[in-house]
Amino acid sequence: MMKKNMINYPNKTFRPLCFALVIWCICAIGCKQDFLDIKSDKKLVVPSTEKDLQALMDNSSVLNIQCDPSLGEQGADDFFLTDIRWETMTRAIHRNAYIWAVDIFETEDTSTDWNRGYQTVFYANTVLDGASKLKDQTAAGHLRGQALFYRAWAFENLLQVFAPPYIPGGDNGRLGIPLRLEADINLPSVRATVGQGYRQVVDDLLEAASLLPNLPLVKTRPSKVSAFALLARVSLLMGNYGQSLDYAGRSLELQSSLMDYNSISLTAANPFKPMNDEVIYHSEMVHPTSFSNTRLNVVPELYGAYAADDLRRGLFFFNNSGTLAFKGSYSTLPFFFSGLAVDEVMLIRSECLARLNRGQEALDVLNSLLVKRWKTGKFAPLAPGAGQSVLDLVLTERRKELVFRGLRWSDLRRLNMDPAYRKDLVRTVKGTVYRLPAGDPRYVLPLPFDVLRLTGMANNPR
Amino acid sequence: MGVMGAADFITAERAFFERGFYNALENDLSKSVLSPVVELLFDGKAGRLSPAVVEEELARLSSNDLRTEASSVLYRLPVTAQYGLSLSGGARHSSSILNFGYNSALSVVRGNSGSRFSLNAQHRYQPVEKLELSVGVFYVRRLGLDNGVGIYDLGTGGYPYARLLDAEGNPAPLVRDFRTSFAAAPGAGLLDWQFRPLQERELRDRSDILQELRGAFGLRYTPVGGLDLSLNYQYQGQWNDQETLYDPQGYYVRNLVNRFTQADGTRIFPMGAILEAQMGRTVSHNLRGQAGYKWNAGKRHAFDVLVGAEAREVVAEQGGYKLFGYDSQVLTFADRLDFVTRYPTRPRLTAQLPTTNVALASLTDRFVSYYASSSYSFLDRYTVSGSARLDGSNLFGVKANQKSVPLWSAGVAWNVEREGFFRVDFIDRLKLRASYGYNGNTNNGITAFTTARYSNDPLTGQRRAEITSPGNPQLRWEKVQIVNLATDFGMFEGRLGGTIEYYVKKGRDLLGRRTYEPTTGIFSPDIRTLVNYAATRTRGLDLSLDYRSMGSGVKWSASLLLSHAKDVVTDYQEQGSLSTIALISNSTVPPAPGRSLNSVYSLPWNGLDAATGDPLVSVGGNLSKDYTSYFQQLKPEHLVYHGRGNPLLTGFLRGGPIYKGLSLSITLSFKTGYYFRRQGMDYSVLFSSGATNADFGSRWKSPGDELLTNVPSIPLALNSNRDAVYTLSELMVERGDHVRFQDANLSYRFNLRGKQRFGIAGLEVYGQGNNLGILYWANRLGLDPDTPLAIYPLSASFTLGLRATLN
Repeated sequence: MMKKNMINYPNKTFRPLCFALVIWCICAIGCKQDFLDIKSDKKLVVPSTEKDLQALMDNSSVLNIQCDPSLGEQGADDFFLTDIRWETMTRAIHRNAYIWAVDIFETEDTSTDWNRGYQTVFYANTVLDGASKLKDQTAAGHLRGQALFYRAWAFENLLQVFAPPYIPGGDNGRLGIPLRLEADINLPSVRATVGQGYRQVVDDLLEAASLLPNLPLVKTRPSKVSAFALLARVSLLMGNYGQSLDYAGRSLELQSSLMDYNSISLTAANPFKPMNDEVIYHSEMVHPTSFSNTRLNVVPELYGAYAADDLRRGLFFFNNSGTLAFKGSYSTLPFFFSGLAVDEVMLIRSECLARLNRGQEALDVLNSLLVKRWKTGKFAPLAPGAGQSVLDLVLTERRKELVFRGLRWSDLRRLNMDPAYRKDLVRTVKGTVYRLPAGDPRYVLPLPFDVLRLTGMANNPR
Repeated sequence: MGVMGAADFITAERAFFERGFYNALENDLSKSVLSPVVELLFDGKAGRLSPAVVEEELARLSSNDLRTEASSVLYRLPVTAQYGLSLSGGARHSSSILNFGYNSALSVVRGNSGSRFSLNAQHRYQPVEKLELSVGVFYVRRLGLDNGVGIYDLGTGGYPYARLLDAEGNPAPLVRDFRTSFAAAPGAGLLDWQFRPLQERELRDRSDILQELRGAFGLRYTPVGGLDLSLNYQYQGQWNDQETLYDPQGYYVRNLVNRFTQADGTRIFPMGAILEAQMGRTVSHNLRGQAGYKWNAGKRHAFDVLVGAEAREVVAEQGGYKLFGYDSQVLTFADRLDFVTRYPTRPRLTAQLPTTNVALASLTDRFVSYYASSSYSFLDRYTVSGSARLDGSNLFGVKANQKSVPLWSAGVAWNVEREGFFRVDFIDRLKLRASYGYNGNTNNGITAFTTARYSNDPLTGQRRAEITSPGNPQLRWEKVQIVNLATDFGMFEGRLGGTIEYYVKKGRDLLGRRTYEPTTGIFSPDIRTLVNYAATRTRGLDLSLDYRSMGSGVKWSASLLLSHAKDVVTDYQEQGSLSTIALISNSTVPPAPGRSLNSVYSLPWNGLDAATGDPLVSVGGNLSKDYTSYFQQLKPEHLVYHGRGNPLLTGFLRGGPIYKGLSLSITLSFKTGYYFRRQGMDYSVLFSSGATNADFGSRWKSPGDELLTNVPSIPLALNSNRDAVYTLSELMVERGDHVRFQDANLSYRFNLRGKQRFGIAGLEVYGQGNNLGILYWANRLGLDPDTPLAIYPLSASFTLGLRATLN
């Protein structure tokens, strides 16, 4: 009896159990096929399509807004701070950058100027990776052009602050910046030489220029105009005046219109609109406390250089209860525009012409810019005075036109190599006199602590 | 850590003023916020007020106390009322239950209140003996009115000497976005520009309605003995409507209208109310199928198997709208606004109109699980068991095989009291258990591929994407190995019962955040960069005891829960990824093997300088004030290690007497064996955000004070490093041990035997108090270790309730 049960009982009841199991398995497998493949958040993507990659390139908060380094501009000679305004800046880095201290970071572990630049590089590399996998070659080329420009833009800006200046015809084997060319974040960062850095920027830009459309859809995006404008800027820094002149010309061929400052309200608090007609490529500097309109004071030497009928006197500057503050940004204040604009390209062209001994052409270009900057009918074309060269004139006007564009620091660095234009900077704070002689190693800023600690890269000698 | 009184705060502001910290703001065109005291001091300095008037005014302000005023004007004793009614009935093949509940609550913040209505209906039906069907419906509606103003909502203007009511008892203005000299006299053509928090309470109507509907359907079929098949389905829908109506007289509207009023008096921002609405909908489906089989072979062998599968989907969607120039009387609003033009704004600069954008969201979570378990026992004494499970979810950005994690365990159990040799009279029940298992853990923050999130670009209006995770192809699951030994026991004829459980958990490949060097382009804390970085071992002992007295008269019951857990790091692979100061201020010091993952560290304290009251630091073996070098040379090994940041031992004790229908129960809880950090005087934070600290009163003032106090003097120039030397010092670390009076419950159940009226079968009234205070603190300052930064201690709350049962 017992034995019989032991044999039969399981068979009888395992039948429905097996049945249930089979049903369950079918259900489960049927469900599983793509049940778990649905996206958890509609806004999330693994960026791989043209639309996704373009959306990464259209992130202006990462690629255009307050992203360019300002540590250089903070040390340039266009402004000063009163003792109390200097002393009450809460971040040591802003106080130290102003007095060219050997150690500027103090306890700040990381540097926005560095981080934002390399964030751009990471986005660009991510898009370069993605674009190489696209089937549509036109779309891939278009994306590649944009990414190469953004990366070159970031490298160029970082080179001006964290690497020694390029020595035309000299030895450029000193340590420059790390050139990260891959998106893989596990690859180590290694400093390349100054020469390699500039070479990379030029090569990337030349390829970008061949891929980009003539004009951008929005001015936060690069185009042929901006690629050539940046090539002109870099070539000027490298002392390749003939090439720089050529690139400036190609950029101006595509976009050359200037604003007539007579049509702009002198009383407006923010006279220039962002992405106006003159802007080629929109970008802004990291904004330090020292640039606030209650602190930054334009040096009298510079302000005095604008003639009474020069509209820039009233459009660029204003008296903020005793502080001579700056309002001439081609962006929304308080942020300072540091992108590319037609006036800069004209000044590059003018300077190259002057350096190539084509003085009259240089003056013509310069005058065609300045006539739009003066009150109508008041401008008399400039000509060099006694003992003055056309280049003297162009360089003076360059500083006046491109004030607080983030260009003065690199101009000081390159002009200091020329005995005719070298300048020793002096700042006095609370009775202490600080000096930055031409060619001083402090023209190259130190690398941030976190980068040094985590990569083991060598720091810049100060 | 308490707050500064008005007099102390004024002393600090005067000191900052004398050192020139506010000079940059005196003629600021943006009219940045200045406190009433600083305005007075500027008036005095410029000769607009005589020194005597300034002093008199300051003395008047020193006598104010915002906290005292707020505790009566902004806060009250919270009260909750609860009512319940339950109906039940049944016949031979079916049974039903119906419950209603209603709660209403007045929150501690005046102006905030809420109510909740719930209905729960269940029906069970058995058409034939082997089949059972069940249906349930549950509905709840919650309404919250959220118009209160708390002390944290006062913002910048909440200075300790601020007044919420003026001398006549009318709502008083507080500094908000601009300095008072500007906001109080906005000029012709502008609306009043002042912010009066007590008036705002009346001028805002914010409601939040949450409705939830759950429906459940169950089917159970037992075709033959031992076999049990079941299928369950549950639907859950949640609808959330939040609406805020800002009255045109309120500050929100007035401020926007004024900011966009043009030089010629044109108002760009529409007058009228602002209506903000947000709607959310969450719908979930849950399906579970299960088959179980129990088989007894004779009296000696018992065998059971269970297999099942479960699938779940939760879809959450969100949207909303915002209307400007809204008229709630006739339902019109302004819809032809120019959001593109940059208009001149007051006091200066230009801006675009704020957009009416409301972010849209659509989130889907899916989950599938397969499980099986089986056990065999012999003679009802010895049991072996095993179980396995596979959980999968729709993690985004991971490889297909990373979407599911397996877990399994195996165990044995022994019912000792069934053994013939076991003869201990007072023990009724004794079971020994042991198990061993493996868990896999995954985390929705991990991605193997680069992921990005879409949004609208605010500058260009283009569609844009932001990288949210760089992706890490080497990611693995977290693995946790668990060994568990336990005993369950019962003694003295059921009076005392309990469980003692000892476990060891070994975690491998634990996921943690990596700090990448920023040249990689990854530096924002918003980017998820989880890596497998550590291994830990946790040993724990849990004890639970229940006691019940028997017999008639007063009955006692008590239960005690004790939990002891000690985790130590056994391996750590992310050394030196942050600077020491960043580590200590974020409490992310790399855990040394042998210490808890959550350890509390601090900076060694070296006292104050005798001449200046500056904190001293040790640089190269000498005491110094060179804070910069100090922090640069600081290494993790220089820090003081205090101990764990999580309690080593926690416990609950609940119990009380019952006499007939009356019962009292109280709950005490305690935590011990851990440390927390309190807040210290930080002059930089005081200056920039007005966050105050009661330490200020005992600061170093003159030479000799360094013997009596450790609180640094007011600095000549702000220096956040100098502040950090004190606020991160060992002085700020306190023992967390405490005993808390969690709650007390008193209830009375009416004896209705023979007196039933209107079908009422049961009636109960009860009162409940929560958060009744701390009975013991180990720290000397009387700080609540759970909320050491709170301005007010956690407030007690009380509930009264009535519950009726109908037949």
